[in-house]
Amino acid sequence: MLWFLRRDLAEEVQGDLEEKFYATAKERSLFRAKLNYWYQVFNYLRPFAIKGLSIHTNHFTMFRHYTKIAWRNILRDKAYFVINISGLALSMFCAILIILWIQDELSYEKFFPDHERIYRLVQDQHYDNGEMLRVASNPGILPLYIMENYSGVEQFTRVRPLPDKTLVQHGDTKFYEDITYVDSTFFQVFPFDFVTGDPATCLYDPNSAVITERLAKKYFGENWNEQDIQGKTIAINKNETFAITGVIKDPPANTHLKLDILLPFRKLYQYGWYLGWGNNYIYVYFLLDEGADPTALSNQFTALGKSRDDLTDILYLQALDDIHLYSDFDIDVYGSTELRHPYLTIFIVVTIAIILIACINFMNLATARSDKRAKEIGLRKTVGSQRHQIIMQLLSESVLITMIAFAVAVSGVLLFLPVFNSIADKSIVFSIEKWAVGAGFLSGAIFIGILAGSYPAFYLSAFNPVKVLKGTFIGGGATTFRKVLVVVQFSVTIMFLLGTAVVYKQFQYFMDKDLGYSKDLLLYMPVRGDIFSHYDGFKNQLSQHNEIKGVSYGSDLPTYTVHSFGGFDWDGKNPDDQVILHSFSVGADYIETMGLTLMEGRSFSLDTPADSSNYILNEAAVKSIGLKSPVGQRFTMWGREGKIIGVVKDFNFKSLHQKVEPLVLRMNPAWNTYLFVRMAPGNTRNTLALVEAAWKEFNPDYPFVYHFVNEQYEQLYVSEKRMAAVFDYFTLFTLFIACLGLIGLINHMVEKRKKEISIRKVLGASIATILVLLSREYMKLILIALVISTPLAGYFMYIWLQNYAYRIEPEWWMYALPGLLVFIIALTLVGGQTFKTARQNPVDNLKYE
Amino acid sequence: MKETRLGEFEEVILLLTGILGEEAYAFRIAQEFESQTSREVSIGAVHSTLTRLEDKGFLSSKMGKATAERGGRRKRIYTITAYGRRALEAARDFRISLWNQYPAFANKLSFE
Repeated sequence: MLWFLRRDLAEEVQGDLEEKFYATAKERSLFRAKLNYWYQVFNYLRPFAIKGLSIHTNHFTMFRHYTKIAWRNILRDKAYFVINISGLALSMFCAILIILWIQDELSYEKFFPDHERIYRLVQDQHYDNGEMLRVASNPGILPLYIMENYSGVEQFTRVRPLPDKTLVQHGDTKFYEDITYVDSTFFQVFPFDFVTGDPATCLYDPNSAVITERLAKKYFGENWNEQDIQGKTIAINKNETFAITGVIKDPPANTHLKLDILLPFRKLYQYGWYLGWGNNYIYVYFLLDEGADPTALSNQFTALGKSRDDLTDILYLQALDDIHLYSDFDIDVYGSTELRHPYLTIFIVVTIAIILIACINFMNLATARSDKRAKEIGLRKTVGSQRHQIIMQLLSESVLITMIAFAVAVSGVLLFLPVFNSIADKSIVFSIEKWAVGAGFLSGAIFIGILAGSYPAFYLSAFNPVKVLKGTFIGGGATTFRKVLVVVQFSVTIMFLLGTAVVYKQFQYFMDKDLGYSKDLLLYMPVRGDIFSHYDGFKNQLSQHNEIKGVSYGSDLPTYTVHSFGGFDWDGKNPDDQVILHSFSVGADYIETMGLTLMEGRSFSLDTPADSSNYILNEAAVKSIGLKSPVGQRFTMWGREGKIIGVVKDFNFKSLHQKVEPLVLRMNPAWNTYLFVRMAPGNTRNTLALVEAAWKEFNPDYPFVYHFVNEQYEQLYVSEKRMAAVFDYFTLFTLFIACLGLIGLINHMVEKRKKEISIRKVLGASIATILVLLSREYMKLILIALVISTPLAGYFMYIWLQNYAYRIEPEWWMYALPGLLVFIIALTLVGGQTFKTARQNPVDNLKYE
Repeated sequence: MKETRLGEFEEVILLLTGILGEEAYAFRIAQEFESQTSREVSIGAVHSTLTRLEDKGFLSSKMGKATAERGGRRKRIYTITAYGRRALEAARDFRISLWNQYPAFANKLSFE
């Protein structure tokens, strides 16, 4: 019982119990007495009697006192306070934004209630020449076959997004929209919310259409809801009419499906080849039965693929939830071509780094300035404060500061969110509904406060009051721990700086590199409507102007292509080899218009009718085929036999992530997707007007839409740009925080050594000597940071650059510059601080000796 | 003095303290309680109430003599303060006034 009983009660309670014991023993029995003793002890387990529990605690009072003292301390040294707040607020600001971003990324597809059961069918295509393509699309008939022959799948839906925008018209409103063909079962797999219409039947009729709310407003007006929209028609591509059978609410941003207009897949049956095994353009989604095993099914599909000759080797299932973050298929309309989820890891690491640095700063400053609090601590201890109380006090101070910083950070986030959304291409909302998230952040902030304050709290509370009050205490200064902290901070900063430099350079390189064709002043227009049937007229009219240097057409943009084919043949080809090559269909003046360089042979010519089945290869194609003198050799594609009439110099028709791949050019007017117009330098506006006029003349019903090839090119590197932007910000932040820390430390050190400096001055030291003396300690640390961080950073950069087939070689100045920059900045800071003190009149400081 | 509410148990303990006088310590009070009410009570419960009453100001206490049965430990003797007495009086007067209002008991009560 003594274990839990309050000591001051011990005596009387024990006495009472003993009396009771003897009394009971006398009246009843010894046994009963013992039993009763236990009973009595138990009954002393009451709040009033338990050790440590005080009904009248003064905790509340103490905290009010602590807050008061903390506040006074803050006011006493506003500069120090501001430094701390900035550092902590900045780090929390970053952390909050990153966490919001990550949350958004992780929330993709969760909108669908059964999202865990939805899978996508994908393929790894293997070719005999050793190449492998990873493709997210499939033959049109495959899902039907699977539904019939396999169990475990509750429902399927096919999705065919058209690669190009199509003209949509209602009344006088006409725009180009994205059209997606989907099965009538689409809404069973992806249950979007309907505003009007029946999800089950809306896509039965091959001439029905489902549109989003946004489009309803666009074509039918803001009051579309009041009109009886069911049955109203829109015209697609001028000739075909579809009746609206449903309107869905705009899909949320965090899903990989981008929908505007949905048309029934049934409509595509008129193109019989969608239904066969020979095509591979359809995206297939399965809703698995409850309890079905996706891995087992996936394996079954893989076996299916292997067993059929007309199917590629490896079929397997990809989970819906994995699409956004883990897709890196070569061909995937909805995903990206590179994995996204490594970015998550990077950002998390960076955020933790920033928070750590801010905490380290806090610790550094607090301990360095400890002699300012020394007297107070000594006094408290003398008057009876226990160590844990002092720790409590100091911790509450740090938590208070952190809370203020948190408030600043949150307001910063709220203000900055729209800007952030536009940078990151997201629409994150920091709504009140997410209070759980907010509470999480708050506790995170408290944790940071405790974390940052822990070391100083323990350090300061250990002061010996005797030493302190006597005045022999010399606290602060740069102990090893603190030195290590500074080194760490600056190392991280330097690494970030290096990263920024490299990413920036790489991006520059991409923009400036010679691609083998000239991408500037090159206009392209998607072929729409009747323009191509009037191509000759269009081209002639434009060619008359001096401002137009060339007109041509092609099946692909020189920035990206998915068109690769088999079915090639040439002399000396191994008949069993299945070879895949890229191919463009182009117009006669393609090479001239695009600014390509012909190395051998000649370009296509309209005067030679045989050219319609002749071919031009690029160097890479020639190499991969292995022909010695290609010009004049026989070449066949898809049964069309012809000759190779020329070889064109390699040009980058994909992003610079990859080396130039083999390419076959042929002249085939049937496959025209884009018109290209090369403009002369000069008044672009005028030239554009000329082109527009020509378009309008030959194709009045379709709006004129144009783009520039170099803008399109820049789009390829959007992810690099984003990385660069993010890196820039982070570097700035880290640098800022690290400098803050340094300033604080220097400031304090200089103040402490005021007297020493003055004495030195009196003894004849010059300002320069003093500067050197004071700064030497810290500059040494920066140098160490440099030495550590440069090789590390170099290593990381090397790994990152391996991603790119075309990359810059890190030059020596990339390594040296960040370090130098940091060195100079640090020097300036240190110098600035010490200079002020060094200049002071020694008399002022020594007066009171 | 309506703020000073006494629970039934507290009132009894308070009265017993007054009755026992010099003998008013936790064990004795508990013992007396059990003999008078034939209800069992633990010393801890009594002690807790005594401490509470003391905190409210109705009792004061001081350490008394040590005896052999207590293994040489002293006991804490409680005495009613003036404030405590007033509280008891208030409680009694209130009860009486209510009983007087109840016809069955009215005018049949006598004190002293």
